[in-house]
Amino acid sequence: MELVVRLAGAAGQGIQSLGEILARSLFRSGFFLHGELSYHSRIRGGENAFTVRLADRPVFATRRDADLLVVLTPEMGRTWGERLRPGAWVVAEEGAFPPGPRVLGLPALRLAREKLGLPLAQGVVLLGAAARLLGLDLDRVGAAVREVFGAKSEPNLQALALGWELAPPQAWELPSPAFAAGTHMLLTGGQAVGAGAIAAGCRYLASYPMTPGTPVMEFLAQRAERYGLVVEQAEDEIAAINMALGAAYAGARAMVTTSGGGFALMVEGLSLAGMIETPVVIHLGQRPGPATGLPTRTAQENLLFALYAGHGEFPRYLTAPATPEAAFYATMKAFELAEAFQVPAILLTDQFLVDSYVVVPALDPARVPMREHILSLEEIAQMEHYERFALTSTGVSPRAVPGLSPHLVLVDSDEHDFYGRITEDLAIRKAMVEKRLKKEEGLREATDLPEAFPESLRGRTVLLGWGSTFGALREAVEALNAEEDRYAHVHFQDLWPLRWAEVAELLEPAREVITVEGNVWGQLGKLLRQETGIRPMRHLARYDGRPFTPEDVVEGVRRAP
Amino acid sequence: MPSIKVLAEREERGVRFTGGHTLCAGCAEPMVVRTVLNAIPDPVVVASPTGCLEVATSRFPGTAWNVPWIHVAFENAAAVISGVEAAYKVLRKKGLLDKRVRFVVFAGDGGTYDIGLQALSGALERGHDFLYVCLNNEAYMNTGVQRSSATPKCAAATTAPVGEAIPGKPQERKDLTEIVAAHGIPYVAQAAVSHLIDLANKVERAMNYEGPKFINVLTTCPLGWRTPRDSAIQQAKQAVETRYWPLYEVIEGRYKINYKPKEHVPVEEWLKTQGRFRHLFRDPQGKELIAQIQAEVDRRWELLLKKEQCFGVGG
Repeated sequence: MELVVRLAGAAGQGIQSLGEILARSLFRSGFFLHGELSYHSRIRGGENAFTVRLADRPVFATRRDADLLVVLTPEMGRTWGERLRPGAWVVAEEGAFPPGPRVLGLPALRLAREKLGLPLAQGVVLLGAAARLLGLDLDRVGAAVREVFGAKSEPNLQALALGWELAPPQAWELPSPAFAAGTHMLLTGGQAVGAGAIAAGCRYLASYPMTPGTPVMEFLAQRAERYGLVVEQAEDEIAAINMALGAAYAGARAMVTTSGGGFALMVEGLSLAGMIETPVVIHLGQRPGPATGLPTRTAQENLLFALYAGHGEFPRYLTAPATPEAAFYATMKAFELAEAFQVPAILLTDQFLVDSYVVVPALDPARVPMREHILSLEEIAQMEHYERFALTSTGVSPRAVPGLSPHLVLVDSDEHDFYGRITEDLAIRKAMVEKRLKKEEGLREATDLPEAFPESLRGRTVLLGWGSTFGALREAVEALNAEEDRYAHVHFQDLWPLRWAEVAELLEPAREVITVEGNVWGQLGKLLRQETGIRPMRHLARYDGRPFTPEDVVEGVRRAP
Repeated sequence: MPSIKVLAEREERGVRFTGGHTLCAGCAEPMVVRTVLNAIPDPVVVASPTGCLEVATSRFPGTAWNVPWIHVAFENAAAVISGVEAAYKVLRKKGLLDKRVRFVVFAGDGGTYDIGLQALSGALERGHDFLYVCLNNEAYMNTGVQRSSATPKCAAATTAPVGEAIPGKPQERKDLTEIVAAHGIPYVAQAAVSHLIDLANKVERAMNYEGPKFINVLTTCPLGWRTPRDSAIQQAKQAVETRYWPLYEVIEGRYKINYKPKEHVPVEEWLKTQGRFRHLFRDPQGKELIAQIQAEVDRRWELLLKKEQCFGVGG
């Protein structure tokens, strides 16, 4: 059982707030949901849509067609009017949608202006009507209005009631609540990354605003005081990553958050992190490029960029969480592996994941154990001499914080010896390269292989994906298998380093592989071929800035290649 | 000096920046852009980095630009205009172009004070012949009001949020006009959208000089400042009256304050009209913080008076 509600209007009409109210109301009613925010990069006008998918089970994908469309402008009526399911209802501002059966046109703007003196409450009037059609509890929606509007709630509550009275009651049979209060959480991918950073003991975030990296920065800035974090807005991304490296040198767990353009500026610093073996977590929220591209849309174009960015050869950890819930744990793991192996860790998300609202079981930070990887004062007191870059069997050298012991902690961007002093001794150079790359072996053991569904791929056509497309792919495979049980879904979260021989073994029994990615090149497919020799038969690409829906994938697979 | 009539006539003869863009109602930016472009009679090439002006003026199916215009990445408007200017110079040298083309950058405070500062400094030092106009609305408004180094102390921004312990942005705003003046370029000025004729005069004077020219224009943002949409001019005017934003010029190193308010209007009068400072009037510490802001305004004003005294036009 599922129901798709789409709210659409122009920028500046408060669509995101309306969506958040609806999502909160549904969550408090005990329903699973997925909320997708889709918006134009402009301050006024354009398209803003919030698609809420209510379900009786966890969902991580959005839908193309809606059961209930709430439209504020004629432009949005035209855009989304074709994207309706049979039997759908439309709640529209008068004139924004052609009259017809199951179309409820309301003079919401006039009501908001005349009765409340607040034209901006237009959307809330329509939401009130939609809430009644959906069969929601008015008090519960009212509580969500209070949560979202705070001190400005009063006129909005009146607006909600105005709309409520103008709608017919309940048009659908809603499922019974799927979970009890207090057992689940409503969160966005951006919040999950921020919360994961806090849970992992992040002490320092330096960043420069760039959509869709910014939500993580704002989340942490609002909580910096409470959780003992330093949040600094840098003058650009070059400064941001170098500030984070400075903080990490001084012992803090440090992070930056950005998007592709900002990451491009960070690349020299990334290479520096590799050389000075200083941990840093980089949240890279992808959006379509090149250059400014589509600033508020989604893409998966930066896999190969994130993997190969930086001059010289050095290990890194690259992971792309599949869902907002996974993003919480992946962020914790990224911090832990960055610290354990003294490498940069890149957390590859995208606008779709960052802005998606989902309902997940209450997060449990204890699931990812955190360890201290910096030498304690007792440990360092026992050392007669200290080498920051000592050769070890794992390649990982003991990391001391400068200034806390009599020992000198030297790091250098030039090739250096075990103490961190510049050297051109070619034997040492060779040893240091090998030491740094040795760390990748340990890191590889700590990464997870892709998940296969069903477990045995024998004779099946495998849809291969990574990152935020998880929900769409899983549902597509379920739908395809319901007709003909010969498909499978293999999904990568950890992307580098991987035990590729085992990946090859996993895929070997499959009949064929189709990659499904938010890019043209089939970047995971290229990587797979390079590392295993397996050549995907087809690539299903999406590069229009929109996320994959399950129906996109099903249609794509069925279409003759 | 160009009168309103002259500016209007030029606009009627050939409009350089049209209406119909999607900047917010009450945004002060288009007034600044039109005034600057109308104050330059020569052909103009414009560069803009990412920002409100860029996204709101160049969207399909239209463009507000009726002059050659290049949008660049966020940090490099000054660098790109350097290349454009150098290329035109060569065209002139080769005799392929006989008219004098002028080069103008319109950039926000984020793209100027923060990420674009290095490129700006480089272009100023190399001495390219261009005018750089900073549309200073004191934060990253396009991406939802993040603080910049132009954001005044105590203003609320999403990355400098108001909380129990922190009253908005903790740091003072950067004095970029003086940083630019320290490059020793021929023409530097501060202007405000409330004083458009003053702005037009400054542009005209600036264009008399060969080399880099810089004008920092206080440009109200009703969205980020949380002020009524019909108050942009009043807001900027009050910033000038309270001496928060002095109108002045540094011409070949000589200081000239263009307007000295006769009465001392406390900066509080300006702060209290803006939502971004609202917490100062609720917080018990607010009085102390307002006093600190006033002290900084006074300090900068006194310093400016002294500079004019020592390095004035007549001095």
